[in-house]
Amino acid sequence: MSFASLHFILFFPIALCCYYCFRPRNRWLFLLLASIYFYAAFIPQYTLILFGLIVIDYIAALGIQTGTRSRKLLCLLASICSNIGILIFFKYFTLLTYVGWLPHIPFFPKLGILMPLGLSFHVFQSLSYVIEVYRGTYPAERHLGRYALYVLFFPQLVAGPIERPAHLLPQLKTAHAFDMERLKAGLTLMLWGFFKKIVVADRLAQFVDPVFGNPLHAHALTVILAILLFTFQLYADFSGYVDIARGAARIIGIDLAPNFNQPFLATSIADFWRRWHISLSTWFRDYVYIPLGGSRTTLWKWERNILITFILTGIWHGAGWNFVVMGLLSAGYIIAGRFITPLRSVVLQRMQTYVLMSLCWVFFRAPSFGYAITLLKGLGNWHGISKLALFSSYRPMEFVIALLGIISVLAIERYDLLHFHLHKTHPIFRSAATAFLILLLLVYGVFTNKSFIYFQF
Amino acid sequence: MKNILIGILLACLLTELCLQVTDDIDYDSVATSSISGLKTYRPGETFHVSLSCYKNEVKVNSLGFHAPEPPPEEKPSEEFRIVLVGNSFVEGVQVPIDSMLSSRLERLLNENPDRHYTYRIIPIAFSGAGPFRELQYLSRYGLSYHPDLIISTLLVDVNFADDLHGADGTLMLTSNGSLKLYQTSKQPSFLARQWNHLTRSSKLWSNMVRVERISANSFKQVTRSLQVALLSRLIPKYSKTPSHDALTRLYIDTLKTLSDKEHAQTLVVSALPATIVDSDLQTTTSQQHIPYINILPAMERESLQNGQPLSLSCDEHWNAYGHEVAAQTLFDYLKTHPALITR
Repeated sequence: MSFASLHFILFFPIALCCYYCFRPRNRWLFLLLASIYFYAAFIPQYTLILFGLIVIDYIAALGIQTGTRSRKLLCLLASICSNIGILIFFKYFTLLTYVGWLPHIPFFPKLGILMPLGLSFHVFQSLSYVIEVYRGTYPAERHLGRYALYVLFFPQLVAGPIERPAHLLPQLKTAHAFDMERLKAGLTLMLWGFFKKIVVADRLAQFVDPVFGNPLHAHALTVILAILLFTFQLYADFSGYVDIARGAARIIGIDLAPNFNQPFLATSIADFWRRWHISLSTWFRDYVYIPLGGSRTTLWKWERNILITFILTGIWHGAGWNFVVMGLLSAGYIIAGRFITPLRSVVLQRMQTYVLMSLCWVFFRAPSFGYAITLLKGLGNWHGISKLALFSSYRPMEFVIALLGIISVLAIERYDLLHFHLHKTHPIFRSAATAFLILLLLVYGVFTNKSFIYFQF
Repeated sequence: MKNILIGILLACLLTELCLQVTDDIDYDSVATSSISGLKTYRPGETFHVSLSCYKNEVKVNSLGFHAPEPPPEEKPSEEFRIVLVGNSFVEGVQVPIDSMLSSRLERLLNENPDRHYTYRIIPIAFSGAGPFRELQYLSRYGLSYHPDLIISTLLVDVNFADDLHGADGTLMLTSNGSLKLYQTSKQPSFLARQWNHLTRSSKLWSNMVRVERISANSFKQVTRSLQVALLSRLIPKYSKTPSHDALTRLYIDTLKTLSDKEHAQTLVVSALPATIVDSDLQTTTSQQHIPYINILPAMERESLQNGQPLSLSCDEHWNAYGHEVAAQTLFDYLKTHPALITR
């Protein structure tokens, strides 16, 4: 089920009450069942795929823990092949066959199936566990149920953050008593996540979607605005999801890793990737970039490592040249950044990073490479009067509200108003701020039931 | 507790202030008829409606509908009157009066060189009116214009049961299964009128009512689907609401009775997606010899050919193009069924 649905609004309080009614040592079981229900609410059959992966990785990790050197390697390879195999099968093979990039194999059943929701996230989280066990930095989990919960834990099940075993598994083993402060902090974080998703992201989508949906006739100004706004829409949508996930987990007593660190303050592309989708970028850093040699190597090898890491990051998002180009662009920016003297002003550096990344996201948002190019061609369409086709049918006030939403998100996160000042001020101010946020959510929310962008991965 | 209440009050004031600056919708535009208990807009007023993707100045006629001024009740002999009854799709507050389905259809009919009459279309439509409520509007407002043809529209949905459940005392199913269309309601007291005016002046209150309606509808959908999934399987006679088939018959029978009263012909028009089965409607209309057409397939074909959407991007209602295509489809149908537009 989606966080932004009535189903979740009903599910979460009930699940929470039941969770704290269970004996502490049995709570993991309830959490596991609730997580299975949460995932099964999308497409029930897909839970079987997850169970298959869970069993394979569980056995592989035990084999790694107890086996000889060669057996360890064999178990690791078996686990990696199963995980990547499932990912390739669902995410790439089906798509490539569908778009005609791969020939149809005779006798192979034609697949009319969708990719299981959030498969890329589960696979990476499972791989992280098996690799850590192989490296000996984390012992294999002997309790199958707890390991299953590590993969299926519902707040981060569909779109991350991609957790590491050392961070999440010990928390799942601990008995958490009900804590009023955690409840308040968690609810505030969830509320903030809903605000970002429903008030800001979905409102911006109303301006962005028509341009990305019909790029042929868009005026250059419209295209520029849509490209710049999409970066923020993506941030509000994805970080909104993560905030809801982290808030829900916090109430349960579990701290999930932060996934964003004010990415719009980044002064370079490398800095941006340290602040954006942190759990994914650190995953690639730890399991791809550093094993390849990282930056402590010759210049060309460093360039090679950057290219491989970012191309894989692109491909992780989906099968298509647009995602490859997205990765190539990021890598290109970072490599070029090493040779170009940065701008003097920090503000200009931030603006430059924002614009460059916005161009990168065009390839992320477009359904194909050709489509992205068509949209970018629109940047040269300055003919006729300055017709902001995108905005002509919208009230100017709608645009002002969207901009105010962006500014408020930036300001509140920049000055940490949500987590720090809110809890150290007068109770009247605290309750007024919370009620104000709820009211803004209700009256300015765009209730179109739009799913989260990262659900497709 | 005191602190929390003061905090909430402050938040309400602040939100009201924000809304007064940013929200230009006039929420005090609806009035309830003291005679029929039916809702209409305040007769003769003009107000603005806007959502993120449209903005329109709504001109309300003397009956209280978004429509041109109706003709005098006395009908000249050369005039052929069509009363078009419907819900928000026919009402079309999202587009100017000239772009509405009714205005466009009237123009198409009058531009036809083979015509024998001057056609006049009188739209009687209000937001949220379900099939039975439409009959109430027809009975209260439409019949007095002595229509020659009554077009009853069931657009997007045919949820007869919802219309009965949402009844506010002006629409009732009697014990013998017939439909009581309206009753005189009492004039609201002075205090009640002042309270209504005050609450409608508050943008926050009006927005919260809107949110409450959205969430109540969603909640109703969830509970109804649960009810259907669980209770109706366990206890087959659980539902007190008559079957869809029975309600369809009741609707068509009542429509027929009303048309017969004015010796008017009747046409039932729907715009139902393929997901909604309208076999009950097809069967019942054919039993009563009432012509029936679902205009949506033809409209969608047209939209696909021209690559233009029929609906607004931020709202399910038709855009100006949607109204144009609906009018053209309906006109094409009437042209091929000349008996309907001939007295």
